[in-house]
Amino acid sequence: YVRSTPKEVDAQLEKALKEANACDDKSENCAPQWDTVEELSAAKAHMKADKKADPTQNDPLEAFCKDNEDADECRVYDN
Amino acid sequence: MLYEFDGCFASQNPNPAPNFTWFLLSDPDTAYFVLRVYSIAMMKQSSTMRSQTLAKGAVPRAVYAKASRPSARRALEVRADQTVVIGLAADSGCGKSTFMRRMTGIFGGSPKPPAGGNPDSNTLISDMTTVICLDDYHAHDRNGRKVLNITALCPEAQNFDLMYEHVKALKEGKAVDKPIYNHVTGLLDPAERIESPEILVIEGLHPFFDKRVRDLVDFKIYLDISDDIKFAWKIQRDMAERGHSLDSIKKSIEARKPDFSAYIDPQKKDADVIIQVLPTQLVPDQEGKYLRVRLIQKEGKKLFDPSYLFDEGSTISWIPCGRKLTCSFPGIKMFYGPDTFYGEEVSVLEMDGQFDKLEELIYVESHLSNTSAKFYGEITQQMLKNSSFPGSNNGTGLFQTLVGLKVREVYERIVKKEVVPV
Repeated sequence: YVRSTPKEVDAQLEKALKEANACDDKSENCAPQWDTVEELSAAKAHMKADKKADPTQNDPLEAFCKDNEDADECRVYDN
Repeated sequence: MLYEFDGCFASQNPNPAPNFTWFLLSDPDTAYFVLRVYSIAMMKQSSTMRSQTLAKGAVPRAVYAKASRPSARRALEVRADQTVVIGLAADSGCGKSTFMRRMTGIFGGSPKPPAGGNPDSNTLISDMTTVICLDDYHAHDRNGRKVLNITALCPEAQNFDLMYEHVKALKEGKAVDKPIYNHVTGLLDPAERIESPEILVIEGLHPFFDKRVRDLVDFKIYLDISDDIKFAWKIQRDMAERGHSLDSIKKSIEARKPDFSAYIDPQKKDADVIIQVLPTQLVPDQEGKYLRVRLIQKEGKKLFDPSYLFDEGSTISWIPCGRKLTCSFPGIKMFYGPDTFYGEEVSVLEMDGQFDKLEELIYVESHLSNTSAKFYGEITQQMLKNSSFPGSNNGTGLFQTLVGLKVREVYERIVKKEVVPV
């Protein structure tokens, strides 16, 4: 398994938006297409939020300390 | 070498007697080391041992850290013989995931996807809670729905039989193999194994739609976002995305609306608590910048008591800003009073406006009663901890945190056991 990348979501979202915009809502039911757009927009927003909430992704020191617990910069004593 | 030292669990008593002892054994030659914790809880059961091999001369940082954190203590607790099921219903993009983060934060630990499984899994597991996304019970994948011409909001798109079987099994303490709906590809991926947790949270569009599932849920929460606010939030969320426009956001909300009104919205009449988010009444506001948030709490439930302001059962409108509290524009307005909701007795707690300094929140919190907090200022402390989440400066964050504490109380009342506040 490989984690889906933001790029893949973008590609899917663009495709879904094209489909939804091409749908003629006067003659047919376009709800499923727009529902897909909403689903992908939400997935993208969730990815962003997860990244923001993960300190190892946006703090260089945290990212370094994840792999080097014993480095001088990273040691933490709780006593 | 053998080190021995005493410590205490968190306690309200300023000078508590030591109630556990650590033994730290280290052998300088092999650099192998064992930590043993003896506590009152452990008199009844086997000891917990943590051991790890370290490079010579390295400091056992992880063990020091773990030994003093609540998560390490929780390992000493007895597994409850009953799973408590919490249900959360809301439409997509209404802040379910923020609410989940706040709620699981109250039980401590950070929720993570199942280790080593599908990285696109929607499940989040922490020490005490497992959160399952009900999209995993879609009966058809994205393409299948398109062929049938139905949205994910339709009951036909859900496999309620499987949902019922799984929730029932998990509640009885059995593990299940749950399918995974991949939100990126829109396909149903191979199943993942879910063990029965102490607290099972099911969140999604239809947690209370099917009566069999509804009857299994111990505490039901509904996030009710008004159309204006939904629109404003989705603009904030999607406007920067490539291809999205004001028009496409509007169309997407409009197109899904009939199904939402028919199948999702009616579930709120079954909820125990409803968080309603409405436009403010303090100032004219087109952008949905300020919010009026109402916490609607059902009366007469065995498992929780509604929170109230000043005096239970009265109707009170309160502007906390004045001599004791300086508020910035547009200020804060609180309301509390009894009401009826779909023919049932409810208590409504309301907050309009936003706070931008924490003193304001502690001032408001100190006038709320029945909050299920374990110490003075717990709500404010939780909000501080999660200050980066959306809604942290208005009623959404406050009431989500309050409901999180109610969830803890429901759990304690069912299993008749205390949760150590984190």
